[in-house]
Amino acid sequence: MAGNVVPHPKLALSPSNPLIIQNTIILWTKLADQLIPIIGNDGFAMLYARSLFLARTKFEWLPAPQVLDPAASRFDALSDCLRKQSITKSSKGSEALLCSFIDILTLLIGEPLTTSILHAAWGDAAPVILARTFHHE
Amino acid sequence: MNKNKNVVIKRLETGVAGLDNLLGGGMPEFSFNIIAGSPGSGKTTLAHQIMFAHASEKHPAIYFTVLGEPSLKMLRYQQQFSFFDSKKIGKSIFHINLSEEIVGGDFDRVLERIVEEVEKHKPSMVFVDSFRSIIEAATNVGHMPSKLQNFVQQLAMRMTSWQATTFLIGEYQLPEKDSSPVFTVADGIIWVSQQVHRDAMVRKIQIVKMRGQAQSAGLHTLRIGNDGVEIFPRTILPPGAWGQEANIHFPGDKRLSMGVPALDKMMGGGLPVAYSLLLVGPSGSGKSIIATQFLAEGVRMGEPGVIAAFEKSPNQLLSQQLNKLVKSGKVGLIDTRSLDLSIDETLHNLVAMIKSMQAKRVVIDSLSGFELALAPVFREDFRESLYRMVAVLTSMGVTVLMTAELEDRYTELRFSSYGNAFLADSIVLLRYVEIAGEFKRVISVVKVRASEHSKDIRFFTIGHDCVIVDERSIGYQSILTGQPVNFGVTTQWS
Repeated sequence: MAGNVVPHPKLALSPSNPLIIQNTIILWTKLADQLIPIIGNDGFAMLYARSLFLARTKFEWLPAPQVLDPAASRFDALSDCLRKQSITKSSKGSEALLCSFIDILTLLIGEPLTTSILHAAWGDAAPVILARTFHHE
Repeated sequence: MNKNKNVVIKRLETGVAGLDNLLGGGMPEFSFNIIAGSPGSGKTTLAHQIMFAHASEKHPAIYFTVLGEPSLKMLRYQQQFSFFDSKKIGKSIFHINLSEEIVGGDFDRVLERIVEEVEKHKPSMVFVDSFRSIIEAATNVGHMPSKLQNFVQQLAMRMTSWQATTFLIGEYQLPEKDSSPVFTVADGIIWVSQQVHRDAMVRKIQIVKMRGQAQSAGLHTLRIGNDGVEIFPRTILPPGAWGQEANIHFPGDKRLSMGVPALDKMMGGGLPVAYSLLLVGPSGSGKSIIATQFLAEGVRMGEPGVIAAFEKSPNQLLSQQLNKLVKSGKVGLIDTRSLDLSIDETLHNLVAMIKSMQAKRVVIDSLSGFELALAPVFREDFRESLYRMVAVLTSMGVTVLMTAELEDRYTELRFSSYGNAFLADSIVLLRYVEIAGEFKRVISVVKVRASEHSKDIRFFTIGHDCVIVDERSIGYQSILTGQPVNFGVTTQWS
């Protein structure tokens, strides 16, 4: 999965994109690959669990906060949940979860560092997501 | 042709104010170092400051974090310092978490991962924080000390061969440093600590070891502010500072006017350059006014001055005259608001201002206030520290006037409440005496080292921004006992 081309997040999570589940997992995997070496698996797992907790207030069908398995199957529960929803719901739930995660990260380590990490993970598409995240606040 | 073929070790600037001086010029390139100390003493901040100062795309740095402070929190808090440049993260500074590798306490796995990342990023600097976590994880699974020593030696050799300057950061207590193999292998050991004395806390730093160069011995004050760590090296007079190199003039060469003509005469022609003067007297006797005249005269003669005023808060105008001098930029005012100062910090600030203003005259008003402004732990060494301070300032060629509060006791003759009158090259004593039901002020020159001076006790009065010393002796005897006896000379008072 890590070797896949990173899709543009705006398009990747669009309700019109039939590959929304696959794209969601690619985005999360790329982000995890970038972030876990810096903050550790536990650090990433805590942020992910908190993001799920927040996103589930609007999208209760998202997986329950969990301690991530460091193995490659760490986003399987998310993938399963998205698969059970309509594309529109999947799109909104996926976006909400990612935005929650980025918001928390920004709150903790600041915008410049978060942007830098997202850039490293996703390339040029990162600022679009970040701007959208702030727009939600 | 250079006959000296010995290897020359490059010294890296640390970017930490004062640290390069302590180290003897900077960190030796490719050295293997330990930054150790108690929790909260500033180890991680010191390491980050060095890393951010040094890291560039050409010379990247890796910061390995283990089980100590969570990386997320470390990144959050380190951003509060001005040296933190988030643009460097991921480009020239790489934070790498080793918590997975350390879980089993397997040294080989940890070493393998460190080497893997070093090969990937080719860093000039490598940090491992906290190294103690690695040791504890290994100890918990029963690894022998010999295996730890082997691991440390392997790590040290590999990092040096990869041309990386390495820092292991860890929480250690002092007794451990003698027994842990980590300390044996290290080329350099930087020790940071915090000491609480009564209600005040001070941080200190010590270069316990630095192979191949002459570091400054002893403990030095460290302060953490918005810009990170700042160190105030415990100033020691460099060899040869006295004499020709300091360009000191002896009495008769050059003297400075005190701004009070009659007092200049009493002192044998003024205060010799690069002398220290202790101006002693009870509260309200005129010490600060004479000190101000000394500075004002300097400004008039084109000699800038510096004053460390501990008696008043900066919001209070010290005096109209002094305030004008400060505002004119000809007299520098040292910030003495903090009440947890060290003498070294004050001396550092004084020396910096003296150099920047090319000051010739320094006033410390007063030693009593100075002592109160110090953190309690430094008060114990006040006398010794004061000696160093006076020696450093006078060796720079500046003339120092210190005021000291002294309660009038008519049963004994004292020149200082600290027993430090011997520090001063000259002493001027102010006192109150009671004559015919009135308090009168008297002045006498007790000492001007290696110089003739008046032995008179004279009346003086304080006018508007001036001090008027009577030209004649007072005409009383036993005046210092509090029971003056007129011996016939009548002093005229205007």
